Amino acid sequence: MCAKRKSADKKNFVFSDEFYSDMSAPDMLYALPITSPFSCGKIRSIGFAPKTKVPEDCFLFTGNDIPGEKSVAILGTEVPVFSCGEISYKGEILALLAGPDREVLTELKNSVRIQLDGDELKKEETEFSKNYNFLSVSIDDGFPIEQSIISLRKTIENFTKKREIIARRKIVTGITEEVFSDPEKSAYVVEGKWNSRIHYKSNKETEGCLCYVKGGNLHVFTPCQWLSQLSKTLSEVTGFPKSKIFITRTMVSHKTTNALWFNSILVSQAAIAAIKTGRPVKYSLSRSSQEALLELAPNVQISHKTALDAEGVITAMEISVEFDAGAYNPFASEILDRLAIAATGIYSCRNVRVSAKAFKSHNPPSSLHLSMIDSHSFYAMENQIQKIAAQTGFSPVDLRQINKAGGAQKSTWPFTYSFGRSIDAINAVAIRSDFKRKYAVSRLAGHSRYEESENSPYSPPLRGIGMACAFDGSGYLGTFFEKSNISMQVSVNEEKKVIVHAYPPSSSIREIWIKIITDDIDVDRRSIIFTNETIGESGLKNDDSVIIPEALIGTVSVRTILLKKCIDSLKRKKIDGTPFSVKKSLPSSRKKIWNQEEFSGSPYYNTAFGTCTLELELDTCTYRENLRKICVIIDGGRILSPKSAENAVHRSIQRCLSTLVDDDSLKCPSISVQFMQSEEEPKQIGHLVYSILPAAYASALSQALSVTVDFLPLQTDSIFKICENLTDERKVRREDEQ
Amino acid sequence: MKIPVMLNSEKVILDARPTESLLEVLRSNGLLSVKEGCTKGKCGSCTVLLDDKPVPSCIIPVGIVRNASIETLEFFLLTKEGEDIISGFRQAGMNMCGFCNSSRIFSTYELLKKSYRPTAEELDRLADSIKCNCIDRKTFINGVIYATANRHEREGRRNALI
Amino acid sequence: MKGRVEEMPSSKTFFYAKNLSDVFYQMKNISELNIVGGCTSFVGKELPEKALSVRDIAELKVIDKHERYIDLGSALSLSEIEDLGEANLPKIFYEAITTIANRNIRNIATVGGNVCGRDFYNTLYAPLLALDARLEFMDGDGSVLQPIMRLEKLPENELLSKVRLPLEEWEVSLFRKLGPSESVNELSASFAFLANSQKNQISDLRIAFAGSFKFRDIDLENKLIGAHLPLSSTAISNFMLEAEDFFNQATSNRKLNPILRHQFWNLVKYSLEQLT
Repeated sequence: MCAKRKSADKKNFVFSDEFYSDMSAPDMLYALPITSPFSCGKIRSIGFAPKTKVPEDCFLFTGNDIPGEKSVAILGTEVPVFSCGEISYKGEILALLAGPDREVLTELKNSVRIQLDGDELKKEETEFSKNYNFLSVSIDDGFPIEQSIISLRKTIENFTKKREIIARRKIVTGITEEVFSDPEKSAYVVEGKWNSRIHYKSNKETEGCLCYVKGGNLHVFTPCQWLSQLSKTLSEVTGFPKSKIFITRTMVSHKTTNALWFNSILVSQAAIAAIKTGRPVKYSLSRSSQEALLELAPNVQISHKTALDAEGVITAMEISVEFDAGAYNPFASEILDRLAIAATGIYSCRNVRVSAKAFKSHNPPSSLHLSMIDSHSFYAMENQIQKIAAQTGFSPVDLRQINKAGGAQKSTWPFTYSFGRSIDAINAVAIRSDFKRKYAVSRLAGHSRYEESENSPYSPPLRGIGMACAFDGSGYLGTFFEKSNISMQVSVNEEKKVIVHAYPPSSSIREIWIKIITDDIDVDRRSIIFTNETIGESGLKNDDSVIIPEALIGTVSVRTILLKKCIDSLKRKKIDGTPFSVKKSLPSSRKKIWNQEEFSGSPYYNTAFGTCTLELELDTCTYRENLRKICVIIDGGRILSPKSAENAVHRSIQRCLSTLVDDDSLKCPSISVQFMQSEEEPKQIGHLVYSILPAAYASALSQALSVTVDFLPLQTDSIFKICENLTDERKVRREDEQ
Repeated sequence: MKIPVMLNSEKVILDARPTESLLEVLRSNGLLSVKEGCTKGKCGSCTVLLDDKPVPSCIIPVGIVRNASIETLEFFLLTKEGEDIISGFRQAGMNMCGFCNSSRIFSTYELLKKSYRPTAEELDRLADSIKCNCIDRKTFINGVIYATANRHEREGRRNALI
Repeated sequence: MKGRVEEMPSSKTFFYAKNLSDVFYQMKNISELNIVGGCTSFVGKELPEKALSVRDIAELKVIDKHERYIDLGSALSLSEIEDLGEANLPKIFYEAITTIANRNIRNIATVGGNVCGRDFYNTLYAPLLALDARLEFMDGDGSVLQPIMRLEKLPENELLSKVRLPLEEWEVSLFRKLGPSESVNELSASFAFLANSQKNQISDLRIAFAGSFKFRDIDLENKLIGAHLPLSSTAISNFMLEAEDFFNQATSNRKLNPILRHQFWNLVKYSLEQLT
């Protein structure tokens, strides 16, 4: 497929339904990244090894070839286009190799030599040895000099340097210390550390682009999710004014984590090659680079310390959130805020201390999927509740009902949510899955199951049932929302066609929008046109000093609500060929319910509530789990398209089940999804499953094994290792008893 | 190396290194329905028909397909069987992501070739074999059932499904 | 008859043949020639320097069913074998085939390739061991039908032409595939168990395990031949101790992931419990 633009079309941003990887141009060069094999070091030089025969039309571009800025500011974080000085992480892109033949490039890549400054690293080695009496690593130990020093440097970092905190958020209500020292108020104190490294890999198109320069203009084809940032970055790096940069946003096949901002770095690299060679350049990350740079498992550790009184009311919570942001993270503050807001889950108590920190490290940049950030907090909180239930004997259902926000005690938590019919949802899921009975049976059987299984071939199977609840907030009224002006405009033209002026939605949301329109207005779906506009065109105000990701502005559910309001207004008018237009915005009073500076109020436009139970059985022969049943109940307000909603939830469940165990996809023979009837405004429900299913799974497994499973994803032999440890502990206990 | 094959019903000579993957060779010949996904044969994005059987072209060195018959989606969708399937998918309201199309369509084709009236178990197994999550199982299975009905209708056997 | 040779500069070489005689001629005349089928064993690995593709050799794709056994040509794809159906294949073998990768890969992977794995005993090996299958190896001069139990390593310069599967009925037939379902690593293995009884006594017993190593020991199996059914828990416990010894002995010089040991013992115990 040739990449062509109509000469008449002068728009700087265009949307296309093609994949950039299917595009090509005459005389095109391919590009391969040269990445750092080390996590740190100072680069002395990058070039071909001596006596390398470099074909004439092959090129190596580094930071020295950048015509404009060598690093760009993305939301205040400086990110280098090519690493020139200090290496920040293993896999960091140091240079770009370009040539017409990919096979030749792959071979040529092996001839690229990266020289590090050994003296710098040796200095550190000496300091470390002085302070810690550490036997210094000999650089003559047979390994290449850099490897020895790098491994030593890692040790140095682990033991000496304080981790650099790049973002922090603290939320305090009440006095937790007092409560923890009061025996009446802390009849039970439960601690837990939770680590979820679930990440959602995709086998779809990898990130990349096609760039060329023609007629003094830079043309780019890429699946960009942040057009304004890309335009700004390209302009700064290449020196091309924004008016001469034409970006075609191709099909975005999946929304990965770092792709939101990393795309502009990749495209800049390719653009430099295109400018320098005067030829089109196609740059596609390999699958392994995509996984290493963009689809990383996020590293979030959350610790909980919870106090309860004798009735099971949570009296205090201390929560610590640590997030390894990697080498750079333009969204560190945003991520931390979201983790902090969701830290207490659906629960409230008078005394809470949340301390959230994001650290810089020599790992590749970590950026959580912005729509699913909260899932880590919910994972920790729900597992903590399950652990409390296991240790205290309280029913998990009752614990949740008592301590849910709006429950027994008045909340002093600075955030307010509305959870709709959450009480009914929790009761319904407990009844539907027969949770209370199964939980009690598994709990009773728990303490003697290992002895039984050893003695009797007919011992009952090890079973467990877990439960989890979460909310999914739409229209997060945080930094980005504050600075945007969300509105939807629908117009009707002389040909009686309905035109929706909006940033292009995904195909499933597009179907929902079409259904909303055709349900209320007598119009054929072929008469509905989507203009696919960018921010500037849709007239949204955009402060130039902060460029907001278009994908985050006015999340889909908010825009869906606004669209519905537009259609309600349109319904009242007669469609007779007279052109007219309706525009609806969020009332300004809606934005005032959130105070970003004081970090309090109602952080979301609305919140959906979801709960699920998961039942499993352990195969004691192979140490694997067999899922038996999953029940999900959601209160998502008025469901505009029940079939689409159910399908979306099923898809999320499928996807989630493929991430709980590495290299394996779990199956469940019985999955039930239900929605609570409601006349409230439609709410976003797409990500609820990611917040509740992993916790329910871990809880069920913990009950089946009678030991807390505090990390996900598992490996295929994780259950075996847990059982082995338990067996060893029992042996030691028996020996002690004897 | 010159490798003679029957590509989309046409006798062609593929000029490629024998160790190059069939995926790369087909894409460089402009057959872009074959997508590069996992490159390990698992995701199905690169599925083509090799001697009328769906195979993952990413793990097949082009050297072993000498004299074989290869069909890609570009050609298959113009056939009657392809039309049955794509109409069926449309009737079920399936919005494929564009990357898993060949996997879903060719796997469905293979099932319909083998089984005139796919059983629930066969449909389940087919749905299990598709790794892409752009469409949920139920909708996909409905699409396959519609495709089966289309085929029956085309062959003059109406209401042949239970 | 010479097959055609296509040489690329500094690259691998592919050879072709029209029939078996062609194949043998080239095996005789070209050193270090590797026979390949669907090449699915080479995913993530380098293809051999010299490879001869036998995908199109009709003589290697024959299916010949007799009363007591079935012969499967080594170049048959796994899906072609699968399509014969459970009725025409030993149950344990059919079950094993359906667990291999996915249907699309089975459409190109061959039974010969699965059996002739160099670094690893693939999924079908344990069922073949348990069934006492025989493998026919040929060279230009003739063929030898060798019991898979006695195969220490693949013979050099010979071609696996067919796999002969005995078609016996088994009262208890158990197959389990172990390890991750979406990749092959050190945790991957397969387990096969077969048992028959006559007049309430165990008349035949087969236990096989294969992954990074293979295990089947007739001396171990003989310990239960003749045992009365139902097996008592003592009999099972005693047998388990023997099985542990035999297994440990067989794997003494290997660094084995402990989970495999435990899985083997658990599956043996579970299988014996089916006999009770």
